[in-house]
Amino acid sequence: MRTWSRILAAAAAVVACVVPTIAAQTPAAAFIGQRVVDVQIVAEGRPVDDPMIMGLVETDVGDPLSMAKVRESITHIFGLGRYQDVQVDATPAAGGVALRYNLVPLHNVQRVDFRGTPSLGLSEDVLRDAVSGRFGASPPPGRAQEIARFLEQLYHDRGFLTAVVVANASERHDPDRTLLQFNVTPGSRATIGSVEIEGSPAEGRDAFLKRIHASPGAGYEPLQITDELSKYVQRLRRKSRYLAAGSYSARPSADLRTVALTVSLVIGPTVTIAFEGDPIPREKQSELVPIAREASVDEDLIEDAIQRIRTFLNQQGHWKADATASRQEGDGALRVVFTAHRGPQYRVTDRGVEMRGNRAIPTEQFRSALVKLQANEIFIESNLSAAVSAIAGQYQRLGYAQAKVSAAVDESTDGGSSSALARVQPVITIVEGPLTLVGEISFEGNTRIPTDQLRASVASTRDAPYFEPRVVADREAVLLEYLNRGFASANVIVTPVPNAEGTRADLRFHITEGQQTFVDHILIIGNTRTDERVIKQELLLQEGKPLGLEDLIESQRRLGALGLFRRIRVEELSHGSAATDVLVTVEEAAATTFSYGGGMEATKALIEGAGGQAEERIEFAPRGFFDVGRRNLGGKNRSVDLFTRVSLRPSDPEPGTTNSKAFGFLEYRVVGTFTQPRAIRGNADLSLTLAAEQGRRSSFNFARKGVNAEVARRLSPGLRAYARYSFGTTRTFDERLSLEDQARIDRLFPQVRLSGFSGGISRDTRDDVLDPERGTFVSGEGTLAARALGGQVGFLKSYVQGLWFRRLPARKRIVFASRVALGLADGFPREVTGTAIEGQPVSVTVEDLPASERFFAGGDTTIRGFALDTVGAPNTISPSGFPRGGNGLLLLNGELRLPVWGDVGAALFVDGGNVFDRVTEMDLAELRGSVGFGLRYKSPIGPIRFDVGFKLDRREIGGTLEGRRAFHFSIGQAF
Amino acid sequence: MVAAVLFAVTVGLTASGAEIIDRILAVVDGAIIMQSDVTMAVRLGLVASASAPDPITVPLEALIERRLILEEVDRYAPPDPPDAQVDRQLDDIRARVGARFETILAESGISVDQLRRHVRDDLRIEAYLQQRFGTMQPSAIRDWIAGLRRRANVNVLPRAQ
Repeated sequence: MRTWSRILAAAAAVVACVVPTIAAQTPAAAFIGQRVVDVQIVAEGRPVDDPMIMGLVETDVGDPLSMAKVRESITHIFGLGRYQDVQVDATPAAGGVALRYNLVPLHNVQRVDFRGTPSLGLSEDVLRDAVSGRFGASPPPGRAQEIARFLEQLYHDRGFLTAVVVANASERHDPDRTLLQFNVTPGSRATIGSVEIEGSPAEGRDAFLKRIHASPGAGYEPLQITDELSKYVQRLRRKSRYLAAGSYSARPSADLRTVALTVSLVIGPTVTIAFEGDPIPREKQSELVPIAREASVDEDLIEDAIQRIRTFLNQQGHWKADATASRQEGDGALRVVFTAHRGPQYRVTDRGVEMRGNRAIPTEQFRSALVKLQANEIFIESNLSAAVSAIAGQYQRLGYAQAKVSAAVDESTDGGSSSALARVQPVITIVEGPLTLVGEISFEGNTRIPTDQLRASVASTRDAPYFEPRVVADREAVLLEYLNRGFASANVIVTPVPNAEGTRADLRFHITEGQQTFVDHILIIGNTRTDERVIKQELLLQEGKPLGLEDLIESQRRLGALGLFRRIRVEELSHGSAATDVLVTVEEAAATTFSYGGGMEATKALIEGAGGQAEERIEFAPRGFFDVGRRNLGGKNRSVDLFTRVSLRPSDPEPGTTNSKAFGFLEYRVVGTFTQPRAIRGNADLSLTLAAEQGRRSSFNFARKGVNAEVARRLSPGLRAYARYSFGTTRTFDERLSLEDQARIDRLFPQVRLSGFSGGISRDTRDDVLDPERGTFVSGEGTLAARALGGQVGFLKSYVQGLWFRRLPARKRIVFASRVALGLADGFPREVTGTAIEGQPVSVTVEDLPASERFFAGGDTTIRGFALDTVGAPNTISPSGFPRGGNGLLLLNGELRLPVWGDVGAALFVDGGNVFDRVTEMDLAELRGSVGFGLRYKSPIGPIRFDVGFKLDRREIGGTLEGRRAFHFSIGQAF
Repeated sequence: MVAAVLFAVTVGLTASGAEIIDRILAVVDGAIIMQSDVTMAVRLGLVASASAPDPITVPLEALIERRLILEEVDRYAPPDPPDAQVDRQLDDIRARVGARFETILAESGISVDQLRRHVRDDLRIEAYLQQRFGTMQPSAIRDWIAGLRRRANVNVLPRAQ
């Protein structure tokens, strides 16, 4: 009989004798049912007026006293994690009973101290690390005695055999805490007395004992001896003595001051491995027989090695290969000999696999299953087994639940087993059995979820082929329905009931619903700055509603997505009834974040060369950034952020020369952002951004200041829509284009004010934003800028793109990435009075987009055979070779991303596209293209990329032939 | 003996005549064991009891061990015992305490459903121990329970308040 059974049985017997004779009552008996006239809550004598705690007390004034409610109240309050005890007093009072909840605060350990008499004997760091490793940095005060015993053992393990540790826990108040002190009397470390060695160490007794720290007279440190002895044995094993072993035992003296040691050392023979019989490729030997790697000649390891050799030979077509192993001992050496007998190599006969018995599925439909068993292929038995499994799966998916697929191999008489090559005729025999369709689908035992709802959750339908994995998935789906409605102990059994012919199988779902659990109270702890409402807003669980599994998981995910907390735990606190409390524990992240970084950008850019012609040059630009943010403002999950980035670029050459200062141009971007997630009644995220930037494009420099307000909403996981209003001014300067080559609008508006609305939507199913392997990203954005909105020019502009990623079916991680992007824009005409080049005033109509809004292409993220912005139809490139940009853009990219070694990868790419002056001029025949290759290094901040692109067609611009190649160095994938 | 338990739990009478009608006695890995759990378990004969001067410790220790074992049982989630078996156990308990059954539950604040769950868990524990230890010596089970306790976070609160 088990202990527990004995306890139960004994208790039952005792009480059976006693209970009937005792009319015992609990202290509560006298008060139960009396009207509660007063409820007080105190903690260490002081009244508690925290509304949350008061809300957790279920024994309301005016109600009759119920012990069930007392228990629930205690459970709720304890669940807060602030109190170690909740005691409930009852006092007779006029008209009923007065209750007092006495809360005993939890005095967490704030500090752990170690005091030694006369000293600790060991480093305090060792003690602290050991205690925090075993019991945590703040161990529960109730475990103080256990910690003391643990520390004594730690001292014993280091040779202090008489160490005594006494724990002393002292509570402090305001704030409530405990100071834990351990008073250690370590005594003296035992010394090593006599030492006996069983075995013969090569270096002699004294040297060996010194090496393992076990010399007579030395301090006794058991852990060190164990460690050094283990290292000694490992060294022997590295010298091919795989049977080496070492151990020791200690016998302390009566006064525990000395210990006598017995060290046992087995050096063992030198082990060599030999291969005989048919040859095994040298480079495969250590992989197939990992004796040296494992430093062991264990029997199991040798058996595994034999099996690996067989499998290896089987994979070469040696169907009947065999291998054996033998041990040859002598002269202090052990020789393990592996003998391989590979036999002939088998190939499939000219007829290929013979299929028998398949009537419902023609043999052609098994082609993919039989691809490795084609005529004259090397015969590998495991390929035949895999084909059998695949064919059986095909039948089952079609509803042939009883289909039996088996295989046999006939040895062909073309070649005998003695020859080097033999033939086999694989035969796959199929007994299809009847086609089984799903019959009636019925549910039993469901009282809380209607049958129609359960039926909707299952994928199997009447008259559909019966497929067992689908039925299993149906069971999971029904169970999930229950779990999501709070039936945590629900059980679902599905029983297929076939008819006599096996042509129909009814599905009977037997449901045991169990008890439905509802959320009683939601307790939130750990939020010192965050408003409780912000947390509750993210919880799908609600008080009084069922405790659903997916709601619980999703609540935790949503809290995590807030970005406010370092740790989040949502758990149920069951108190044995149909209602359970939900405890949400959060650990807030730091409110202020600060990050900074720097780097160097290398890119090929256009400069104005001799004669004003565009010339490409490599520019190196050091850059740095810092970002400071403050989140959870006012506990409302609002945040502000200031991002600043600065680059130093070479200045433009002085007119008529190619001289330029190395860091003569300051490129910067300063962005201040305020965000409010779940604004506008919780429906959308709001952000306000102020930005100022100065930068360089190939044909001009620009300075921009602006503000925008954005409202974004996640419509579903991966689907996001937004609307934005933008207002700002952009000033272009240092134009590399001559005045005649500039677009009229740029001459008229060197500084342009823009005001417009944008709207967009994106769908993202990529598995990784930085370096995706699969998934798609599709986005579209439209912008309307108008004078009526306060701007100086108006235009319509749209940009749509689709990115597609797919991991190829290869053993290595090869990813194919592709992109199609289309940009279309058109300016609204307006009359402008300006000054002609000759100086006289003129009235002109402009309908271009300002330079800052036009499309450009060429560079590391668009078409990589070209320097930045240098792609364009002829009428978008000035005679001097500088790009003007255009209203139409088309980009096509394909890239193969291949692993090379470790975190290093390579890429092969094809880029195409062009920029067109007008949308109506867009022409697929005018596309520019490039091909190239690159290297990638997977870093924590994303792939570091180096690409070299080559133009497919070089053109003459301004009398100069374009350069053949361009290279780019940057961070992040091209798209 | 039951009276001794009840006496022991009323020792905490305050000077003003207030009586502690319930409180927490121990916390096992975050799960609480209350005074009402102990009195209910003793009065219904679900755990062993002991005599004065300390009639609480023995049943409390039994409930602590029960909680530790139950954590292990829940990790392996053996099948629930049949309802009929649970009903039989409940009937035995009713028969044992007779007409006081409802009173004991009311005075402990335990519902019949909660008691039923308690009984069901006891049967799960029995089945688990039978499956895991079979005919092994009780000392093996004691060692195992001691190991559970070493690894667990058990806080027995001081009662002389």
